[in-house]
Amino acid sequence: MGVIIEIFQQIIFGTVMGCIYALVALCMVLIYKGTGILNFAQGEMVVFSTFIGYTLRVVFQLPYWLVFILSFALSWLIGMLIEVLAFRRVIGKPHLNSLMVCIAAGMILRNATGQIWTFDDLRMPPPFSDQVFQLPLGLVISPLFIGIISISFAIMIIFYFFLNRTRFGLSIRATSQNPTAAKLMGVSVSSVFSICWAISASIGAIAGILIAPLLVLNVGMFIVILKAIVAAVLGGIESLPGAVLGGILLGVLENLIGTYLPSWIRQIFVWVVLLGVIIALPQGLWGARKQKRV
Amino acid sequence: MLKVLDIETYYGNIYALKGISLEVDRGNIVAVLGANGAGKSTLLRTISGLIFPAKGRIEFEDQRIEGKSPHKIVKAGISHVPEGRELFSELTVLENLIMGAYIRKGKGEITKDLDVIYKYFPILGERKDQSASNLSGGEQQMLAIGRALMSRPKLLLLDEPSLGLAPLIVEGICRIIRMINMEGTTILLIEQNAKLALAIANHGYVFETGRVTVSGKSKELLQNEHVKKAYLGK
Repeated sequence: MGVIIEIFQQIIFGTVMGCIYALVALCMVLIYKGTGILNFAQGEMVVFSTFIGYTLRVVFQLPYWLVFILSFALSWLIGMLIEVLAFRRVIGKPHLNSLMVCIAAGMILRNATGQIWTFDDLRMPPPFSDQVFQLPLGLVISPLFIGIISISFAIMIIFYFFLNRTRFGLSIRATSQNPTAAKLMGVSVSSVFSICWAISASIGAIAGILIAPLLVLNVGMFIVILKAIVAAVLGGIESLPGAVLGGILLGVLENLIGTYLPSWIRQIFVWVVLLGVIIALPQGLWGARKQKRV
Repeated sequence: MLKVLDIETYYGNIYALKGISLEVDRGNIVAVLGANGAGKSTLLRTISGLIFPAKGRIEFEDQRIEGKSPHKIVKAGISHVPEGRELFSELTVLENLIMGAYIRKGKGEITKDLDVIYKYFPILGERKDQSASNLSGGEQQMLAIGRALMSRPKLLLLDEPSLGLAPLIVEGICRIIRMINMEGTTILLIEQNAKLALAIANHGYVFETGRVTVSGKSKELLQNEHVKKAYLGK
């Protein structure tokens, strides 16, 4: 009985990280579907935005709700800027071009973050109390965990409605399927592209600010965030629900493995999953039925 | 209504249009005939702004539109049913039609126009919640036309509406094209099937390797020796 409860406890912990993977994977899938670019610089974008959130909270002492709103808004602009300056130029070009731009953008952002703030470790104050309290059956949970999980799910639901129930969401889906036809309908395709980047940067900012209190906030945090790419691939890279499920699954598995197996296995686990999926399941867990029609 | 003057367009390095001029008067159906590769689709793509001409001018209702972006041209009142239909294959029929009205505001009016489209093409109404990729070829063509009409165009550009369809379905689509025209939409139509095109058009232009070689009223073209030999198989 004790083992089962402990496993259940670890699943709760893993879900917290899984939600963050899911949010970031969602951002990557949105950009990939919208513009055909796999954004390897997403991790650095998240870290940059998290430092903005840190500044607003620790330096300006703003209340956390305002920190979220301002970080969201500022990251929106940063996302658009990055798109206009760099990524707009490689749309429709071979993947190698966009890969190079991602590497360059990531390097620049990483160094900019270090120069503007610091290359040292910071401690991000948590938006909700991280004091755990007892649940029945001996399980524990903290308001921080509850906050991370509920804000993540709220964002996913809002995002789902935005994409499936609004005119603008429809135009994003249409553009991702057929940019030429979208142009003929009167969609300004380039503004759809920049909105995709803006949304991704903003959701990434929330994800970063939520998880930073549980990690160490520094320039190197991007590598933790980048694991979300595995969630995106696991979900079939073009599927938004797949990205969410892939993210949560990855977070849970990673945590279970970290609990019961030596820590070096945890370190490489996610990347081994990436290799495994690419070799054995290139269409992802949920992408199997998709076929290209003429 | 539409005046194309001495347009030259390149596809990469290939000369696709070598000085094309044509005119479409309000209320007419004008057909452009010609073999594959004669530059017909390129002409429509140039008019709707998908590609920019290297030279020449295009006037629509006395406004110059060449070199403008497609979304400005749709707003001006030109709607393009492209070659190969270019539907949003994973969106539903209804979502495709709503995308057609993207430039318009006013939900009530759009809903009314949906009913008009369903009246032209009842099958689209029956299948409005299915994804576009589940439609047959003829239904897809209907959806492409319906979607283009949702922007309430003054001028409709149709690229090969009969391509790959069974004769019976082609007949139905032709009837609808005439109906759309009678309700006030001007039409510029591209067809390889010259007989069909001249049967519904008032006016025709024949394209050969990027140039207009013959033009005139449909009745005249039907009597023209060259057209008869090359396109009507007589």
